[in-house]
Formats: sequence, C-alpha cells, structure tokens
Amino acid sequence: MSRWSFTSAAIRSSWLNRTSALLRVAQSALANTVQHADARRATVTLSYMDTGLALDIVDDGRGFDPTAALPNDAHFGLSTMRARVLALGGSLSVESADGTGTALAVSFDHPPTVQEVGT
Amino acid sequence: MLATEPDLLVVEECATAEEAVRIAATVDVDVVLMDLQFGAGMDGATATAAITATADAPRVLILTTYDADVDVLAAIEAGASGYLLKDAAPDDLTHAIRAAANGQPALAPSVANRLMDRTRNRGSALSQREIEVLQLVADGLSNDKISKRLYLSQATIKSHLVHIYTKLNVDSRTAAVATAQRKGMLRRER
Repeated sequence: MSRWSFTSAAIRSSWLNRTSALLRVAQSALANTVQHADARRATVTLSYMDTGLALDIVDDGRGFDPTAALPNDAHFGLSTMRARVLALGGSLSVESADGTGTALAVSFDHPPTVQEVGT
Repeated sequence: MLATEPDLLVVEECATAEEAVRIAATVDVDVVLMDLQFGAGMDGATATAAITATADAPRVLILTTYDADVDVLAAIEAGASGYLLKDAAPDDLTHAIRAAANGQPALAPSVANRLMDRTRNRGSALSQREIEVLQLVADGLSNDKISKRLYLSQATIKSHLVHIYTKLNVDSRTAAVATAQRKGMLRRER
C-alpha cells in the first residue's frame, strides 16, 4: 500500500457513543485491506449527512466475491463488524467483486435529540 | 497589464497546474494567480491545495471564468485566499493581488453573494460533497463510476443523491442536474 487518505468533518458530540464502534470497524476493515486486498490506495471517509453519518473504507485492491466463502479470519472480522454495527442500530454493506476493489460502508441515522426523546 | 504597476512584478508564467506547483515551491513568490481548468492535467483546486500545504506558502488567488458553486467551494476549501472572475476590472484585480499579498481575502462580488446565499439558506443549500457528486452526475458518470472516482461506496453515493433530491425537491438525476445548473451550483455546458 503506497497511499492512504482520510477525510472527515469534525465529530459532533451526539456521535460520541458510536465513535468506538466506528473506530473498531475502520481498524478491522483496514486490517483486511492490508492482509488481503493487495491495494495501492485505501481511503477512509467519514461523512455527515442530513439524516445521519456514513463511514466508508474503500480500496482499489483485488476485491472478492462477497457471496463466496472467505478466509476464516476475514469472514470472522466482517461478521464481528456487522454485529457490532447492527447492535447500535446501524447498517453495514460490502460492495466488491473480483478485480474491482472493495468498498465497506457503515451508516447510522442521527440519534434522536434530547427534545425529541423528552425528559 | 500588471507590468504597469510599479509595486507588482510578474516573476513567472506557466501553462499547467503541475508547473505552477513546481514554481511555487522553488521560486520566491508572494501571490499565485491560478486558473481552474487546464485540459487533461491537474486541476487548479488540486494545485492550490498542493501549493498552500507547504510552509511559507504563497497566497493563491483564483482568476477564472468558472463561477459555479462546485468550483468556488473546492477552491476555497483547497486554501485559495481569493476568487476573482476574468471580467473583473483591472483595478479590482490589482487591489485583490495586493490584498492577497497582505493575507487578506478578496472575492468577486458575485462569488461573495453566492457564499452569503448559502449561509442564509443553510437548510436547503447542498453541501460541498453533494455538489461534487451532482457535478459528476451532470458529467454523465454512473453511480459505480462516481463511487470509484470519489473512493466512496455506492451506498453512500445513493444516500447523497437522496439528500440532494430532497433539498432540490426533485425526483430524478436529470431534474436534479437541471435545477442545480439553473441555480448556478454546477458548471454550465460550454
């Protein structure tokens, strides 16, 4: 891997309870990239949008067929990531095919504000 | 035109953004006048980011014909200290160069107006990333191509498009591009 890049807006306090999950996902996804992807470039992007937040980890490596059997460690990493994200109410998707790189995306809707929840 | 100003000296001129980055790093200049599009090579916003990222960097003043939000926002984000249009009066240009040399911003009035409009309409204004995505849609790229270009998943590209449609009150790619072009967010066909 010769090139890394990171893009993000400033973290908002309402997201602090999810930052550790996002960090773990980013770590696992990048570990997979380093071990399996043979990529030249990987980019991590944190996007704040009107309705929520998205974390994308995208590389230009060899890709894989997400429906096929994976090496045990990669498979385990993905299921752990997905479970962690689902438990917090988010979603995780993997876009990849042989030879086209891999994009892993996690998204969370904005948590309700204190006013919406009531006190 | 600048040659008639006693306190301004044109040190170098060049035809590509790559050359501008190289010269700015090796020659002692105070202000770089930068256009935005140079054919197939590096674009002006990327060059601006490269120039302003260095220590003791010169100020970069954009001088271009492009006045769409997509270009203005990218240039400012890249670190440009001013943004002028090529129809600016000579006095405005020399004033802006002196301002830039002193670390002060300089914006064409129409550009300043557009930025103020964005602040006033914060809820409905497209984010810089949304405008970037929509410009690529206008350029004819599929979601897959946009995803590869921006190093984002297609899922996130789709989320951006949903938010773009909501803010522009449209329900198709074509309508989103037409509306955004009419509002001056995207480059016009030329």
